[in-house]
Amino acid sequence: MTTLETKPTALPHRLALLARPVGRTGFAVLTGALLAMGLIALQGYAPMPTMLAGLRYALGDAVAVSRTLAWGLPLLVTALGVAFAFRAGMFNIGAEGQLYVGAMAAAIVGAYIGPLFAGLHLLLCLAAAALTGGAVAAGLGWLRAHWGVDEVLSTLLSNYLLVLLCTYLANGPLRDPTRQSGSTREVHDSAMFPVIVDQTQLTAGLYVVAALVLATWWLSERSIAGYRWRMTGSSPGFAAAMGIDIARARVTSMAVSGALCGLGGSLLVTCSQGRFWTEIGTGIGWDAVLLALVGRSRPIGVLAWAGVYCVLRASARGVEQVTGIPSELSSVLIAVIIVAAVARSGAIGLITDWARRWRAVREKQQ
Amino acid sequence: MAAMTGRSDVHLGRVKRSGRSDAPAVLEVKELSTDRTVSDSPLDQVSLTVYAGEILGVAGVEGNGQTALAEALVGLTAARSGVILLGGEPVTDDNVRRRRDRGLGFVPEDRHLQGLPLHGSVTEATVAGRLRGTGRFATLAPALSRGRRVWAEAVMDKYAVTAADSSARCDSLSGGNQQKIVLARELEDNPACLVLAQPTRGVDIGAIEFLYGKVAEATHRGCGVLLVSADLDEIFRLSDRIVVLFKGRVVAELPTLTTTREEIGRHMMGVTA
Repeated sequence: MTTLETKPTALPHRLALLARPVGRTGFAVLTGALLAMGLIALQGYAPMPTMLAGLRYALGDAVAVSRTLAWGLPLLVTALGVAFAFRAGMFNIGAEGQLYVGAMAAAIVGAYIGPLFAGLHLLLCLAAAALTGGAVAAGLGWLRAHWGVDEVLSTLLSNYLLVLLCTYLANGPLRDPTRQSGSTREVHDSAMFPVIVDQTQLTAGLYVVAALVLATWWLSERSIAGYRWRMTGSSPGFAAAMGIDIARARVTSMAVSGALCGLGGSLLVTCSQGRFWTEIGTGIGWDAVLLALVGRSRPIGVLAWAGVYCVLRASARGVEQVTGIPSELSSVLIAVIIVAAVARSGAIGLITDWARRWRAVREKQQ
Repeated sequence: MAAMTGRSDVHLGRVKRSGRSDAPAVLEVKELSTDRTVSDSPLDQVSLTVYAGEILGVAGVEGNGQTALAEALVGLTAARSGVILLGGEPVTDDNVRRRRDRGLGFVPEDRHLQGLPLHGSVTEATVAGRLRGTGRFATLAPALSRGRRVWAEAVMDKYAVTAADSSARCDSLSGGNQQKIVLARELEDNPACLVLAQPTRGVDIGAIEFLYGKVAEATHRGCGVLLVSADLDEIFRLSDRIVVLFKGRVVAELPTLTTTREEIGRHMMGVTA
C-alpha cells in the first residue's frame, strides 16, 4: 500500500467551511429582525427600544438566560430526536405524540413508584419515557420497513391517537381527584431534577441534555451505526448493495428518535411541571419538526437553531410585557425566518442580479 | 470486424490475461428463477458457472434478465427457485451481507443509485466494505477514523482517482472517477467472485482502459468475474466465455475466441431460442 503524508487541513479552509452555515443563519435571523422591527413599528411602538427590551427579557441577566434555557431544553431534545430520524431517511413527524407518551410515562413512574433514592427515581422516569417513546416510534418504523406503511402518514396520525390517549388517561383513570383540570397526580420530589439557578426552572436536567446532545451527535454523525443510518437515509440503494440491513436501520433509527422525543416529554415533567396535564407539551413536537428541518437534520444545526428559537420566543414574551404586542409575534417571525433560511440563495441571487443591472443602467446613462 | 479483416476469429484489443484451465468454480448457479419485476424479465431456469480467474460475459439486449441476474446473485432480489453456490457453499437464502462476507463483490449497473452515496464523501463510499465486518459491539466506534481516511486516500492514489481529497463529495466527481471508486472498493475487498454490471457505462476512454487493467489484475489473483454488459465490444475484449440471455433464459454459451459478433447477435435477438 502506498504511504501517504496527510496534509493538515489549513485553518482558512476550516473557517470557510464554518462561514457558510453561519452566513445562512445570520441572513435568516437578520431578515427576521427586520420584519420584527417593521411589525413593531406598525403597532406604533419604537422598534429598536422595544426589541432591546425583548432581548433583555430573554438574555438580560443570569436569571433571564436560565429561564430561556430552561424553556428550551425539552424542545432541544425533541428536535434532536426528529433530526435523528430525518438523517436516516425516516420522516418522523410523530414527535408530538411520542413526547406526550414520554411525559405520561415519566409522570406515572414519578407518582406511583417511590419515593426512591433521587438519582435512581429520575433514571427510572427517564428510562420509562425513552422506552415508551422509542417503542411507539419503533413500531411505526417496523410497519414502514416490513409492510411499506408510509411513515409520514403513520407518524402524523399517531399524534392524534397518542395525545388523545394521554388526555383520556389524565381525565379518567389517572386523574388527580384533588384537581379540577385533567392532570395526573404530582410526582414525588425524588422524581424532580434539583434547581440549579434560583428563581428559575433551570435544573440539573441541563447536564442530562448536554450529555444527550453529545451522544446524539456521536451516534448520528461519527459512529459506525450512524454511518449505516445516514447511508440508509441518503442512499438507500447504495446501503442495500453494500449489505447494510435497511429494514433494521429504519426500525432502530425510529427507536432512537422516539426515545429522544419521549425523553423531551419526560423533561417537561421532571424539570418543571411535576405532573402530566393535558396541555403539557402542546406544539413542542411541531416546533421540533421545524427545528430539525431548518437545522438540516444535523445535531449541530439543530442546537444552533434551537438557541435562536428560544431567544426569539423569550424576546417575544418580553415584548408582550412592555407593549401590547401579543407574543404570537414570535410565531410569525419563526415562519419568516424559516422561509428566509430556505430562500436565502435565491434572495441573494436576486439582489446581486438587481445590483448588476442597476450598475449597467448607470454606466449607459454616463 | 469480420468484413474489415476478412477473418472472423480476430478480436482486436483483447485485454491481456493469463488463464488457467483447471481452476475451481467460484460461482455456480443452478436453475435459478426469480419473480417478475417491473423493469426486467424474470430469470427462468438460469444455470451458469464462473471459474476462478476467468471472466464470463453475459450478453443480451437490455431487459432480458441481466439486472435480475445481478441482483439475484448479490441477494437484492429473492430467488423463487434454484440454487446459488459461492465457493461450493449454498448462499441462496443468505442476505447481501452474508454473501459479501463469503467473498462476493458487486459493481452495480447504476453507480448513482447503488454504487455510491452520491451526496456522501469519497471516504464514505470507499470504507463500506471495511465497515461491514465490524461486530455488533463495535458499532459505537468511529466510522471514518483517521486510519480509514488514510486508507481511503491511499486507495484513491492506487486507482488514480482525481479529487481534491477523500472528503470530496461523490457527486462532484466525473463518471470515470466515480466508477474507479466503486471498483476500488470492491476489489480492495479481495472478492473470490465479482459481479461486474455495466462497468464502463458513461465512463471516459482513459478510465475504461484503467478499469479493464484492474479487472484483469484481479483475475490474475484468481477472482472469477461475471461481466454483465450491454456493450458487445466490452464483452469480446474481456470475456473468456459468453452466455447470452434472452427473455430471462440462457440461450447460448460460447467460448469468446471461436465465436463472432454475428453469432452472438443472432442469439441475442432470440432467433435461435
